[in-house]
Amino acid sequence: MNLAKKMLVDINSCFATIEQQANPLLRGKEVVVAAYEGQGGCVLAASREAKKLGIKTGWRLDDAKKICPNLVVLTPDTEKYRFINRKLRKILLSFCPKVQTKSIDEFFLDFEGINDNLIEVGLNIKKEIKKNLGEWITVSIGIGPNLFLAKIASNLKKPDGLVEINENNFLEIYKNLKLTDLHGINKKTAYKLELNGVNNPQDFYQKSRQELRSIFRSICGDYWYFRLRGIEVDDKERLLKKSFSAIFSLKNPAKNKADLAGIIFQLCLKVGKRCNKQKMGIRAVAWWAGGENISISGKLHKKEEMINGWEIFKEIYPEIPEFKDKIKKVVVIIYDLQKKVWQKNIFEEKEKFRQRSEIAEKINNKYGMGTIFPGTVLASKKIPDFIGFGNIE
Amino acid sequence: MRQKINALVSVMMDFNHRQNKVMPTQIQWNNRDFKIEKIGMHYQFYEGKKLFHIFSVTSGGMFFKLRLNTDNLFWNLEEVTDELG
Repeated sequence: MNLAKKMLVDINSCFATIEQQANPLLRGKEVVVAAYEGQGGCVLAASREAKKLGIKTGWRLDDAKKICPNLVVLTPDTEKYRFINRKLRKILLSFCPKVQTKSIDEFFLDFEGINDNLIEVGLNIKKEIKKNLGEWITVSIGIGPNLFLAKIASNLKKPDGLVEINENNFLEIYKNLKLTDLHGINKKTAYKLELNGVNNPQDFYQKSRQELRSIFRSICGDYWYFRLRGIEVDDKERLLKKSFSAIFSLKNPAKNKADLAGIIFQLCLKVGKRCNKQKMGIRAVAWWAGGENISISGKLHKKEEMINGWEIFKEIYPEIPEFKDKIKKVVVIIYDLQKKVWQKNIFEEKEKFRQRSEIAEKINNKYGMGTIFPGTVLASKKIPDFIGFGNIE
Repeated sequence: MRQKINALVSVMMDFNHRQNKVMPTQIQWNNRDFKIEKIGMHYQFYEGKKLFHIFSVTSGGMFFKLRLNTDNLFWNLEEVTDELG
């Protein structure tokens, strides 16, 4: 097994702890941050105190309130969380030159080629966080030979943990874990593994590469073989993503197409912006909107690439049919991404639209999303700023 | 109880050149003075080219969220919460 040179830093109960840090009166209380305050709102983060009562991320607020009637419900303050994210990144960069932001609350540090004692580094990181971010914010730090084991290590002790998985203890740790404790193994995959005689991570480790390849019937079997042996297969240095998606659940359902326009537009901007960061053009878009009694969707494939959210919106909005039922959730997915090749469009109208939309995009980036928007969305609902889970870079 | 206020407020501020620390020390709101006891968090963000500083502070069992607009140096009281959350 490789030396444990990878570290994962994870802010405990991120949004809720940050709120408790900002407002000392909330410390020691059951606090959740929810997408919105209504009964159907969804818990995005629960404080340690709320977690002790069993309240988890993803719960509906009315269920959480049944368990804890005094629950304090807050809505997300995205600027605050982004500030903490940037500040923590700065702290981590003072310890390690290679820091990857995995999500709003997770960072991956690669100490390859650096001879520091990582347990000591971990303790110093915690001290710096206390000093610079606040006494209430804690992190769980996992150290391992690869990102996968560092992630497992960070989950072993929460909150405020510091655990190392290395060649001396990994078998013992595998013995005490369930298959679903492994990041990337869901119930369905665990069932598939159990059918093949793999009942726990220790059995999983003992399977040969050939056996795993035949269980997964793909290269994923090889990846698992390497992951469990501490060989890095997940740190692909920000491998270019093949698709992006954005989803939004509406507090007040949209009752007609015009109502939905603003939300679709902002979701298009969001995916377009993420795609632009990796300098890719978009060839295909799919969308879905649905509620209790309605589900409408569509997709389109373009020969010529779309360059930003404005173009995506321009292409998909006319495709959306009129509807009368209540729409509660909207998803926009872009895929078939191609390396962007700048080429002037020979059709003047299209070229002008591109130039205009790129300028509008720049203005929106500076003055906030929604400063400039198409007239189509004038009468529609707007979505508040939100932070998506998963990769945010 | 939590209450959104969004009103201008009088704030006393202290800059300590030895410690390089700037902090609001007192708020005057609703004809009452609130001496700031603790700063939970201080952060800043841009809205366009305007830089805002947010101070989350407590005083006598009350929580105040203050916003300083660095464009005109006006203070805004954004939110007040009492001990009941």
